[in-house]
Amino acid sequence: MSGAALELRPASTFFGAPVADIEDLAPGDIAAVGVYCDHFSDGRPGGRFAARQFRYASTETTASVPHTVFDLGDFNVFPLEPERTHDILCEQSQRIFTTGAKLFAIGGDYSVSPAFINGIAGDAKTVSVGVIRISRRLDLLPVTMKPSVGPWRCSATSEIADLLSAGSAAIALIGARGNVAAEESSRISELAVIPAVEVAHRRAAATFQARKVLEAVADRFYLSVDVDVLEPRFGSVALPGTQGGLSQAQLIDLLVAFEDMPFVGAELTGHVPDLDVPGRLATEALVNVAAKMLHCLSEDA
Amino acid sequence: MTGNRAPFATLFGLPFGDTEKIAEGAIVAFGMPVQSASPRRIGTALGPAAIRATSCDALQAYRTSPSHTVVDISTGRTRRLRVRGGSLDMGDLEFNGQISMGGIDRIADLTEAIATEGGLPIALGGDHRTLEGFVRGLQSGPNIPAIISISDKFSLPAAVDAPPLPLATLVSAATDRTPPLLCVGVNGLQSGEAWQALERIGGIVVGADEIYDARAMALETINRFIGAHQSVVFCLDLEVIDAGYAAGTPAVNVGGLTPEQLVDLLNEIDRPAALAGVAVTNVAPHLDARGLTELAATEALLAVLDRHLFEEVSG
Repeated sequence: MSGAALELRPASTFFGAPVADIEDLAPGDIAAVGVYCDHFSDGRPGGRFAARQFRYASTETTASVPHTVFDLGDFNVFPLEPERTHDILCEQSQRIFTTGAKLFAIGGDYSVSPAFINGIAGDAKTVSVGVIRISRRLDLLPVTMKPSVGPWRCSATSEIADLLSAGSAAIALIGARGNVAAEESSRISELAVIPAVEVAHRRAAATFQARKVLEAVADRFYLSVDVDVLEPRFGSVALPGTQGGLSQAQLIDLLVAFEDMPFVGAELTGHVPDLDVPGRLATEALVNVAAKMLHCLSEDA
Repeated sequence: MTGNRAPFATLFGLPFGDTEKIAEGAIVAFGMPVQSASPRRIGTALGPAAIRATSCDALQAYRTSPSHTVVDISTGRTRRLRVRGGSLDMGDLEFNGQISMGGIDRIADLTEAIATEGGLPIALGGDHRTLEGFVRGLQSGPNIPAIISISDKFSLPAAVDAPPLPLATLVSAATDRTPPLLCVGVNGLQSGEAWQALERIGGIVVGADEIYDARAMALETINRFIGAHQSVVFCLDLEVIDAGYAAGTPAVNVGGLTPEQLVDLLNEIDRPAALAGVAVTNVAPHLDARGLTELAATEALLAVLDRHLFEEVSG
């Protein structure tokens, strides 16, 4: 040892935010928490690594984020115990909401989202909450079709509807495209469903419609964004035909339209870093989406 | 036929089985997990597994619906998944390393066995040279199908023990003014030998630039070819897609089709009177971290097999 002080790089956190615990949170703070859980969905695993990758990619980003963001680490999960995972996610998120802080869950998949909404409902029993879900899929299959008692993405929206005081009427599903199961399509009239093609071509009217429907039944909101709403290549031209999806710019414009709504929590799901090209381009792109979502949560003017 | 390796996922979630269970007209899938011969990039041995996994994801909405019925949220089109009884996935043929003539012979034998039992063979590659065995197997029956090759080239790459093969040498020359080979999506340099072989048999070329610039004319040419033949085999080489969209292929194609162009084209062309088989080749998933190559392969396969997998639901 030469005696010179070692310069150690601090651990990566979401947007370089300070590390904190639930007890450190104050009303209005934003608690960014990783969700190391992709164990209860079909499709490719890997969403559990999204939070880690977001921390690496966002630490040195130049994107502007609110100064009230704190990194609380990752939620505890029990991959082999679905019910216990649901219960502890519910309990941990409720503890965050009880402090008056806002939850920003990063990573994982939509199957565990009902646990977060359950946490809000447990904290705000008398407050009606509305949910804005931006995703390619509806996940509206009846809860009775669940293959097990654990989390199941295909019925997650139905589970959330059961938790909200206004039920399905308090949910807006934005950006859906492609095929949905017939059992889901028969329930579309119960919710505000705005397909991706309407977002791409008539964004102002689409967002106005969603806000109008939700603000009639709720006064606080939860924002849920799934990466699958994006066009697979994150291209600049969205919806070339029946395939495709939104471009990153279209998604950010969509978030801007909801920015002034009183959100109590948000989540960014569906990112699988293993599918990213070398150089983590997709993660870097999604950092901008995450930054915009943090602005939605912020109470700064 | 026994001895095939059982895959972790099967094509479209079909049951795993062997040739003894094949029913007339049923889809019979098998994998050809074989690497390209040097100096082409390796990776196609993982192609069949990647296509199978993606095919199950693509049918997720159908599989979660108790009635196997889905609605297109943009168009309202309602369709039901209806796979013919007896359809199955036979797993993978055993290969060891790069493509060789011995491997091609085994592909031909298995394809012939499936066709003889009345099944519709769906071959998942594997290097594009596997197409030689697949076509030879289909030609062993009484009804020799015409070939629609969807590829950026009209020659097959070399095997470890055989030089490159002009695709036209796989078919006989045109007889009653119906050319037996249609090459769609061709772009870039082609070998002079392949050109000469193609001209000898009266083969037709629809270039990638024609699909870009004169799509209606390209569609008309393809439909005229389909209408002139009783039976057609589709050969989907993923190298037809531009490398910027689908990087997971042994060779790089600059100036190829976009995935949307390929899938839209396959959705819009007429359905052949009889489909003799489909081969999907040149999927090397580890060269495409985003998984778009196998996604494009699956969507193209779904478009070709549309009539065999789905039925329209009215009202």
